[in-house]
Amino acid sequence: MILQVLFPRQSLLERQVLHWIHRVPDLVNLKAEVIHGDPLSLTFSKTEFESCLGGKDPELLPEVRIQSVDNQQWIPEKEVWQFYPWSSTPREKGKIRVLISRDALKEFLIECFRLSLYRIKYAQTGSRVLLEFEQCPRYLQLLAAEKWQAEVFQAHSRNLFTPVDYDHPVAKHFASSEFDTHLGFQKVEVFRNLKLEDLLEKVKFGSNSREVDASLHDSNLEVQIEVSLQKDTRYEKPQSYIWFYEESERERLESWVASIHSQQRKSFQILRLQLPWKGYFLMKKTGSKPVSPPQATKSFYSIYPGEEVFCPVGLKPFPFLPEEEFEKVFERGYGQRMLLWDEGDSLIRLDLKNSGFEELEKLVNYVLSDYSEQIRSFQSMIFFDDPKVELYDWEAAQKPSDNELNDPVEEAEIKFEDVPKQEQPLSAVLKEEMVAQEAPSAETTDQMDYQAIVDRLNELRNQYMLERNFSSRDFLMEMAYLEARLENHRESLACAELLLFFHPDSREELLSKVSLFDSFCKLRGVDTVAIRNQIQPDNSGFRESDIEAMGIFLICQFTRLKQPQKEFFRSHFLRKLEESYGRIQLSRLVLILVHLSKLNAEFEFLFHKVKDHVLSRLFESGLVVSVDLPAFILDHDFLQEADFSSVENFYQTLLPKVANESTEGVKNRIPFFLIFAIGHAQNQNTTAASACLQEARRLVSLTKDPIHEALYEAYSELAQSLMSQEGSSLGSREKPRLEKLNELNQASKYKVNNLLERSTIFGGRDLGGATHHLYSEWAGLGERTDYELVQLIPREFERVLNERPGSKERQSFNRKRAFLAFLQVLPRLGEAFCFQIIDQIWREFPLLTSIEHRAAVLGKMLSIAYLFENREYCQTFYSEFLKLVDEVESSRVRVLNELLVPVVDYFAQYVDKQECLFTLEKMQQKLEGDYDSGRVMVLMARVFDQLQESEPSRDLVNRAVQIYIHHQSSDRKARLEFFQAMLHDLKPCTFDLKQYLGSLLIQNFEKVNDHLSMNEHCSVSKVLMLEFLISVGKVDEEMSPELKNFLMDFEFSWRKSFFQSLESLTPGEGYE
Amino acid sequence: MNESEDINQSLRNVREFARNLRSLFVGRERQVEMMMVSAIAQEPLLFVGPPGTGKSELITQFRSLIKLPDEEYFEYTLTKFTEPGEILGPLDLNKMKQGEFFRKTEGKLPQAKLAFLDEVFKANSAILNTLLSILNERKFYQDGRPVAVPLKILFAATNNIPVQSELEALKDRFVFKVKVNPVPEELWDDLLLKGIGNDVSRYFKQSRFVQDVASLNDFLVLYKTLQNSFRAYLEEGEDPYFAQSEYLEFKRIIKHIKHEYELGVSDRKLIKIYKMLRARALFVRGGAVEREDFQILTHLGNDSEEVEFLEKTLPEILA
Repeated sequence: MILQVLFPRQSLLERQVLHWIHRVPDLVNLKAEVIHGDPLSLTFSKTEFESCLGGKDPELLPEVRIQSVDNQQWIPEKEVWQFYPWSSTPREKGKIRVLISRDALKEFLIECFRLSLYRIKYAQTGSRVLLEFEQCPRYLQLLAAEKWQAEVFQAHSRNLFTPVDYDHPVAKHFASSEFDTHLGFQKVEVFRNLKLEDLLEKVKFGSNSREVDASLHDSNLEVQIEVSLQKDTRYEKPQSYIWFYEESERERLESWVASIHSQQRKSFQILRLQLPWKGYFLMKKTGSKPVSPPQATKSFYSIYPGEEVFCPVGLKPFPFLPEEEFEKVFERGYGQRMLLWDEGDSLIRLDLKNSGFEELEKLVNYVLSDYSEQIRSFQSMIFFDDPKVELYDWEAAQKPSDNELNDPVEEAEIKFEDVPKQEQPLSAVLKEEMVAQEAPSAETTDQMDYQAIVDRLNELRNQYMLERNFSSRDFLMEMAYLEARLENHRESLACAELLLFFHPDSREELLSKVSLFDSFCKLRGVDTVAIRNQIQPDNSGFRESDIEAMGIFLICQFTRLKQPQKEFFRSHFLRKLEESYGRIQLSRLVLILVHLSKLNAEFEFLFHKVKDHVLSRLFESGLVVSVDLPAFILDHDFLQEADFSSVENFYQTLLPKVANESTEGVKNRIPFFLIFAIGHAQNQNTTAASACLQEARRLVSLTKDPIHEALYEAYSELAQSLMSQEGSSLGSREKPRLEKLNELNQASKYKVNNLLERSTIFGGRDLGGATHHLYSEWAGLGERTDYELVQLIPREFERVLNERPGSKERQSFNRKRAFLAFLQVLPRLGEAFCFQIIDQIWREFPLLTSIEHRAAVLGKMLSIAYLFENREYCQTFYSEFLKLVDEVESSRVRVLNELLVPVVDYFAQYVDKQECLFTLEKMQQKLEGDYDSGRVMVLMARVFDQLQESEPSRDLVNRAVQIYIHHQSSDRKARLEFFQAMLHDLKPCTFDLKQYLGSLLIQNFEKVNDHLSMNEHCSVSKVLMLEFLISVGKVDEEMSPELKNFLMDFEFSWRKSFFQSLESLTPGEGYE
Repeated sequence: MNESEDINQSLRNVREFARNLRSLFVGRERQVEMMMVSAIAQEPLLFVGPPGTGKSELITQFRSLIKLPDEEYFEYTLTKFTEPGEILGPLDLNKMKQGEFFRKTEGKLPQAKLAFLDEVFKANSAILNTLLSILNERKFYQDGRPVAVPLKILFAATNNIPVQSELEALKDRFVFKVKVNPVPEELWDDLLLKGIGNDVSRYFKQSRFVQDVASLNDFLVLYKTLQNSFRAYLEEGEDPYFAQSEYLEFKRIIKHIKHEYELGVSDRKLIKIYKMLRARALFVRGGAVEREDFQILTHLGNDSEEVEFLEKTLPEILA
């Protein structure tokens, strides 16, 4: 056999020959014949060439072509490769091709899906299918080859594929082919005009409810794969999102609900079902980190993170489809919540509409039985929290059921109301599902209608997704109508209410299409006639739960109202509304209010109150996000989408109602102009935005309120940046740099931050971390792990020391704040580390310029020294303590307070009694008759009490109470705080001393009551006092008439305004 | 009792032992199973995990539940300053005077049948070589002459696996490295209950179980069974406890691991893996290897990252 090597050029031939000779010296003796022609060729005998080159030189030049000639006859070029052995060389990962028989395709594809491989291209080649993978794990390659005898190739170069990890000396020769070539061990295959297509696109998954088939479109290929749930073998088990409890487990669930904090309850929603299992679904809200619920019969996790498709824990859909495919297969609507589980061999799905779930917290009824019982259930909240924070933060029991409060039962209980609406949507859904699934071909008229409506709804949704204009009149009108046809009353009402709000002129047309009143009554399961009959001018005894239905009646029948009905709405209805507005959905309340305003309400102040509530809620969250709209609409930010002028117009319709412009009124108006400014800025309407900002500025200067100044600063900064295109979108902005914030006191800062945090504009809750950072960069320190803290504290310490703020005072302030934050967490990091840091703080201690700062830090350090019983540190810090006490001047008694608070409980224990008495005596000399002195007196009384010195302790308590009663100060807030602190600080004292305080309070009861009745925010203090009196046994049968009155008043205030006062902290109202 | 009854009894004992051990912990089922399998196969096992995850507790509870004289158990926490004498026993001074270099090995690693070495990778090079020969060849040099060590079961623990090359050999001896992660939050209630329970029973020296449910001998019986079955394999050329289809799958998975994760599987390792698979099959069902047994391959990682990566990704293949 003769081999012929072709060279395109003479120079190449020479170079190659030299190269060969260099590599293989035997070639010198080779008999080769150069044949001149076009192209040039070098001819060898096969044996010679093989013995010299075979397998030794895989690097044949790419430009060289080899042909073989057998007895002067050309043999096919592609067989040349057979003369040379393959070499095993591991190759970088590349495209993989699998040639597999059609029979094995189904099984192979199941394996691919199992390994989450979906990006597969395919082409048919005769009886086999060619599959191409961008990446294919080795396991699958081996499996294909070994189990199904498939040929597996790996990309070698552009068009060439060779067996995985094998190379051939002449591979490059084939690589130059313009067609795809598979160079295999047995044969070479060339694919001309190979067109690879996406396999998944060709696969159409069927979706009847119980099983899902997959079949390739191609008539020649048919693969059917059933989607099922299989054991989840993943290493990290996914977190549960939904837990199911059977009806019989209700008691266990209730006691768990009762045991958790109301804030924790807010992280859950609950749904009661009759089918398929009778019981409760408890759902964790996305993004929340709630407590673990009790052990459940079943629990479900979200298959696709962030999507509401759930599957039982321990199982996993198989094959695990990519999300888009899954959506297609199961035809899941936007925001539709779906549960999958298996029963026997089949896969079952259950659609849970959003409306089905109720807020867990809303279902909890706080019930008043007797005072002590009631208070006990709240005491941990009220008594031990920082009273300042509590007033803003504590929304735990905002929504009590007044019915229940009016009708006390034995003990506090939690009720899961058997709300009919919970069952209705689900049964409707199930019904729909069943109709749709069981008789897909039954073309009854109803069925057609149903299908048409669903299609149209989908169309509208798609249209919405494109145009993003939900406030369009036609869109809302049609949605309201179609949702009503499907008996989705909740969604229908939401759309209708928005329509009425944005387009009041469409009222008549809407009412002709959708019967709002009937829809609402169906939704709530109330009787329309009964509601109508109650609307009588002399009826004041109707139930609060009927308020909303009556409101809807008002909206629907407004133009047809009879005089007696008008009277009813002006008086009794408004009064009842004032009590329960907090529980009514905002959009509904807005509409009721607009209509009421046209009736000239009898009690204007009540109207104002409700109006203020509405305005503040609008400010906080915007109308759209408060409405129960289909979820796909709510995906978008209110401000970016809303028709802004509608909101402004609405505001203007309510504004003239404010007759006398009180400070409160002005304060309430400020946020609106700020929010309008943002809206206009978003639309690049510079003139309008500036006008709004100017108006806001004017109002701010009228009120001189620092909180509003800070808010103004934040909003105007945002508006400016929106207009200058810097801040591209709302809600994702970085925290505003609020210089004003540093000038505020802690409570105001808290309030500003709270408002910004809740604001849609500033990104809602996501901003939490950032706003915390705003007022205290150390806020989250306590939540870090010990390990993190050990790393973090030395680093941060260094950073704080190296900071160079403008003034020394500022530096001292920053350091104090940091030191206190560190000292707060240090004890849990172990004694050694703790004192290592304390040493460092002690070194910097003299540089704290203000005596207040030094006192706060020293008090804390001393308390830690006592905690660890470290004598040396105790002595050092105590002598510094004495020095500071000496330094304090009478005018700065607050310092003593700072010093004493952390160590008050250690003093009696660790300091010698005489020494202690001496020190207390020294402190006493500094005290005067103000509230600060009063607080120190209370603390000192506690120390005396521990030293069993009852006389001085009683004396100090008496003095403190006198200060509270008689001190003349205009600072009402300080007085209230002092009162709360007095009760709080004396809580750990002996019963004797507490009883003494109790008797003092009863003696001065009238004055205390006067003080606490001045402002409804004092309700917390009333509760405090009542609890105190109960704990010292001052509340019994022989109560004085005053005290009885107080208790009655307390109940009144509790029921009527306590929760509401907490809730109604609108932007305009202050703490004071 | 004949031999097969013996084997069955030992198997029952070991399973009961595993049940007892499992019930003391929360979320440690896999770890306990690996302990049993490696004890049967007499292969060393390494636990890797952050401090406070109960690695040592697993082993000390294993020891407290097994019937074993104290002198046959050795436990030590290694540091970089640990001297050979602390592990191997002090030098015999009398013999030294006579010019012989002997150690007094009573109560030390060379005489232990069950051993626990905490922080094993902190061993310094003086100890390292001795450890290697004890681990691999089960022998120990007294005055230059090899002496067999009776060590049957060795557990070790470490916070993480270092990357220093001088420790490669030691790492390779521990074919299976099992990660011990903190207990997930949803199991905290159970964790506290059991943790406090263990603490209380330790304080009051109470045992919640029949303590001597299994002895070291039970593990030895099973090891012997394993060896006998291998003999059949050698004689017949085909392993009756490893069906052809499973054997092919096993090779596929090992090749996959080798290529996809670029993980070194040395020849020694391959043999030990085979042995461990057979041991698991024996422990779990007293019979042939099934696909489910391949789960133990998730613990083949060589360093901390590989251990974690394999445990996360391999189950997908093994599903």
